[in-house]
Amino acid sequence: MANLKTGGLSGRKKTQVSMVICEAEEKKHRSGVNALQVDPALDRLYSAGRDSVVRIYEHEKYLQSMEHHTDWVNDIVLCCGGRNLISASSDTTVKVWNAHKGFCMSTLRTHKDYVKALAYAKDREQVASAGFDKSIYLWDVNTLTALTASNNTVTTSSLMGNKESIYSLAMNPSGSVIVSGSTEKILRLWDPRTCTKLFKLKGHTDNVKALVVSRDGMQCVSGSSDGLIKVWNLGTQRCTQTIRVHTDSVWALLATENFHYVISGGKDGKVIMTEMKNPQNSMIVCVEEAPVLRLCFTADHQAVWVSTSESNIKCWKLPTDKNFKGETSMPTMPMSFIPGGAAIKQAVVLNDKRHIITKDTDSNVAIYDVLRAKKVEDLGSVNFQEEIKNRFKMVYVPNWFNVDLKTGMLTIHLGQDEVDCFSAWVSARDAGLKDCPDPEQKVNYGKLLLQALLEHWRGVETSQENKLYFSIPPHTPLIFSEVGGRTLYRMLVGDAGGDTETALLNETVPSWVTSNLEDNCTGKFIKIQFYLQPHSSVPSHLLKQDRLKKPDRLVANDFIQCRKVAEHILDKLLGEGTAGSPGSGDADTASTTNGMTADQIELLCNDQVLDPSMDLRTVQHFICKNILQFTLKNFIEKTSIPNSFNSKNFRH
Amino acid sequence: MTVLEDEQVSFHQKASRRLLTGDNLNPSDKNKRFSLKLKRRHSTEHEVVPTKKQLFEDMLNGYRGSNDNYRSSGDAVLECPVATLSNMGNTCFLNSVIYTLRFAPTFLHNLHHLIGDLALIDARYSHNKAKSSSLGRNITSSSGPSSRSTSSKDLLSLGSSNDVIPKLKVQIVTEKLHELFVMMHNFEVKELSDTYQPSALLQAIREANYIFEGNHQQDAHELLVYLLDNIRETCDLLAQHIQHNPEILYEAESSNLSSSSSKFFNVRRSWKKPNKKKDKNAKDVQNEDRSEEGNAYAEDAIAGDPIDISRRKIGYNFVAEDFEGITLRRTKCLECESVTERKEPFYDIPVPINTNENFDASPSEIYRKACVTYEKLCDSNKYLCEKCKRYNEASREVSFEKLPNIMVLQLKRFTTSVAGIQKVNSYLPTPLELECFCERCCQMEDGPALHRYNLCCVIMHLGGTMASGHYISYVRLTDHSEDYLGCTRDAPKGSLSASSSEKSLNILKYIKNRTLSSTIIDTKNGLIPSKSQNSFCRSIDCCGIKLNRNVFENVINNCTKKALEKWQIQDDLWLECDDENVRLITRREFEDVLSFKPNSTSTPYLLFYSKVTDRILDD
Repeated sequence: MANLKTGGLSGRKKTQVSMVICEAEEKKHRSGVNALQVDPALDRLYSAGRDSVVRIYEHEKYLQSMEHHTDWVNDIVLCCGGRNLISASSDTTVKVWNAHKGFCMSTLRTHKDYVKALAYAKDREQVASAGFDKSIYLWDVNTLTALTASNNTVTTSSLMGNKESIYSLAMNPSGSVIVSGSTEKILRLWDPRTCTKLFKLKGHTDNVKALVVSRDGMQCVSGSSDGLIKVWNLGTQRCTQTIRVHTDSVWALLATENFHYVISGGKDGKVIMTEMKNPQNSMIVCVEEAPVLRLCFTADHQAVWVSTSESNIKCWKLPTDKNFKGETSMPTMPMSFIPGGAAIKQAVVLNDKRHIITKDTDSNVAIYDVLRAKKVEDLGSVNFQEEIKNRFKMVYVPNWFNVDLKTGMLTIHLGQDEVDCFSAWVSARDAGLKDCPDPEQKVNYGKLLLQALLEHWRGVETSQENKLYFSIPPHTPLIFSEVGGRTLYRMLVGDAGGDTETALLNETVPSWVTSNLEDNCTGKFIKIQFYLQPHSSVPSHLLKQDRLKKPDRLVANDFIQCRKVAEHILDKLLGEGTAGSPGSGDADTASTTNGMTADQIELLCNDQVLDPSMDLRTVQHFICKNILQFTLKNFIEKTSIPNSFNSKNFRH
Repeated sequence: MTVLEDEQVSFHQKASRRLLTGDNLNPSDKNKRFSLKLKRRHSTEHEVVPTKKQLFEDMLNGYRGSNDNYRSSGDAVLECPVATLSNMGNTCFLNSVIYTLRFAPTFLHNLHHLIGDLALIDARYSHNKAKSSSLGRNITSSSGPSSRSTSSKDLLSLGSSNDVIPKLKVQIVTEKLHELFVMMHNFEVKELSDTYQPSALLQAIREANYIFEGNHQQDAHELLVYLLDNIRETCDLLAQHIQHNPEILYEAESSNLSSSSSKFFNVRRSWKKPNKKKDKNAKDVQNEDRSEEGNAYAEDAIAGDPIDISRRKIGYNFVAEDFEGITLRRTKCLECESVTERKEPFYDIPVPINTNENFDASPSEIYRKACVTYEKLCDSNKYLCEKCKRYNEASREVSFEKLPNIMVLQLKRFTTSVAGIQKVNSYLPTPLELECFCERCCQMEDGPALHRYNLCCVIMHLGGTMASGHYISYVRLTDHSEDYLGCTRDAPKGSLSASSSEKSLNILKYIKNRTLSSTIIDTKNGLIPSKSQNSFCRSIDCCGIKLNRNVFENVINNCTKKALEKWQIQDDLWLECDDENVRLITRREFEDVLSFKPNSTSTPYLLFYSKVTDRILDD
């Protein structure tokens, strides 16, 4: 990959490791579609999705996914006669793609914040990118497409002057003028050939999110969140027309070739075609069910592709002269329809901290297994809250990952910040690991997952103890990024074995991952303090006298089960009541304890009887509620003691 | 302190008569006893300057003449038309707040009724207890607010087993504040030029809140917030009592109540609504039988201030009514453009001081820009949008849905830094009139706003640092008797100032008096007083401000002599209250105090504005 900055160990920001749980090929958009481009030569439609994927539709059927971004793709432009595609994303990168084959050629990391908009000057093969970092960079496409791993530097000029985040950008084909729209509510114009500031256009009272420049660079049209569309004469620097056809913000604009008509779409869901010189003459093209994000002409300019914050893409016929005159009525159905998929809108991590229950925009509920990085159950449209309640388990596992829903798919983040990915120790049996010699052996969820993610990487030595128990799907995207910041690197889990990938991983994988994979990290156990006290019903002669003085204060690993505590009680606290002789030792235990076993010891906390297989952290979380010191009362019942009272305490 | 019931009205008249005859000692034995007692009290607690002055005044037979003569003798107090407070060692923070609250519109009146209601409840409880108690229970041991002595050792025994209901420290502080105001009133009535030490109040505050312990300078704002909080909690206490025991007020209250159409000084739409609401609420609780009267007021009360339905209806929380405002925080995600709103109540508004501010803007604009804020959440401070499920840029606006009747602006003059607390002495204008910046007024771009604010008090901080500074308060002199007009909670003075030994007598007298006054029944249309004095709430005689007219007129005359323009009594006059040095100043002088002076460390710190509603919009 060209132009890659060395990440991972750089700077003060910590690196986190993330993965996306998804299918091998996501053929449908999983969230809204931010941008559209048409290649007339191949009859292709390219769409940029909020699910970070750019998709190619040929003859209106899904062809291929271009996956490389890790966040919303905000804008795309087709250059070089459709050979190349440039994309801008909220992951702060601009990527150059081979559009025909559908793979990423290079990544530009110049921007420091979300990159929101692109502009294209076809005659000069020049692309401009702009975003929230208030900067506009000009790129020569031919230079960009010539980038290789060895020849990986590219110079760019930038246009200065924006004081606030830029949301829209437009250039005319000759590249003689470029205009930007931002939260400053004004339009700023430059000459990209000389990089000189030209002038500003004031008039809008809110953010400007859509711009179009005429071919000759003498006019431009702007759409704003104030609901207005303004036509500007760039020679006189005045607004020549204000079009009030929308009832809400205007987010998308197109202009016909002769700049006679403007087609606009916005938050009200309407697409409207208006005659610029005569705004009274306007027609509704269609009404979408969700806010319109982008419009794109079809090859013959007789229809428009419309994308919204839902994942479907539709093609609608544009009104003709006859429609405007009222001679014929507009069609009520779209000409084409490319269906999209559902986005996950709600995700709740279940108590076992391994499964996530989700609900999507189609109201379907599903269960995912984080450890296996896949969906395990599709429940259909059941009641979400009910399912959560039904799946409640009285078990407590510490949080070890974060969930992100911005792409409409489940992204799992592993880090060492507020949530330590190594904090969840469970028994091998609870983890459902087969072929584990000792089911009671403790395994760490975070470590298991990281091992699986980096399975194919040859850079780390895994000792025999840390053998891999399972694999995760090789198509799973693996992402390294700065916490709350930029993406450093993305690849598929299965590709980690390649040479380039290995080399890059060597640079990118953070030290906290490698060190923990290589050793056992047993030192990371979480400990809990608690008090142990005999219940009042325990006959005192059964207890060792020297331990009666005060409650026992103990420290143990949080995953220790109550059974173990019972064993401890048996060993240490019970015995014939003779002072001294602590060295009577275990040899005499059987006789001193009258043949009792640990099974007969019951533990209580807050007067609740505890299941012997329950671990201490579960007790602390559910019963004691954050009190670090709790009292375990124990009492013993002997079958030989007549049971006059406390009959409920008998166990057989 | 003992003032007996049947002397009430006449006492007031005699007091005013005294001014004319110059006879300080009333022929009535009882009053003589009163003033003697007062003197004795002085000698135990204060320095013995008063007696001389008293005799001096007697000699003069009340003739004041030119006050300039007295100024040189160091007796600046003779110029004060009101009672003064002395500094007990770094207590100017306390004095400035007390002066301010005293002169804040409607505050004294409302505080009085709060204390009155609590006393009533105490009385009822003790009454009930006395009825049902076993032998040996002493009625007189039941407590009232002023049955407590004010010496410090007794304070510790407050809330002791003598109480029928153990007193919370919160309530004690509120009661001590009222007692202080009563004392000050009595000083004024007696025309004593002594200065009073508010030691009892300070002690009560210190006991209730350890922050105020020690003898160093404190932050006046902190004290103000604490006192208001305190009083609000006391109001809540009252509400609780009423809730627990609705019959209490039922038995004790008389049936007088009506809506009056009083007009307050400068306030067209009056704050009478609180009174009405209070009565309505109090009656609501007790009242299944008298539903008709209740209903009549229900309409009035509901038709009044519609803001804040969530506020509890029972009990009258005048702090909430008068001092509470509501901020509105609107956050708009710039991606999906969906807006989330959050409302929060507040009692004062911190005003950041922008040193870069150019003062071309009008003062009202400066304050509006400082308080009604707009910020963009971006860069590393992005907003997590629930709809988009991601971090996006957002705009956040803080505006004011409702601004209170008494708006307190705290200029942020104290900033904490590594070096400790630093003071910002930058100048910010203090307009005497401020345009209202509540949301609705801000939306009235063409045309007049709905409300405006008049400055009523200022607490200034003098000095370079907080620790070494001094506080002075400036209060606008208005005729506060308007506050008492048409009050339907006409409580006689005596019920609140009975000594423990005479409490029983007072209760009986009080009840008797109530039935008496209930014969002055009012119709729903208005108050029909039988005597002209009854149009004023009698609390004015308990703790109200009594201006010393002589001093007042003399100062005016002097100023008129000196100044070229003619003076009206009603002209804008202010009092500069610098501990025991209280003097009348003209509006001109006050504006001069507030004007820009380079390198000055005398800075306004807390500004108190009172609301004037010019018109009301239908929603």
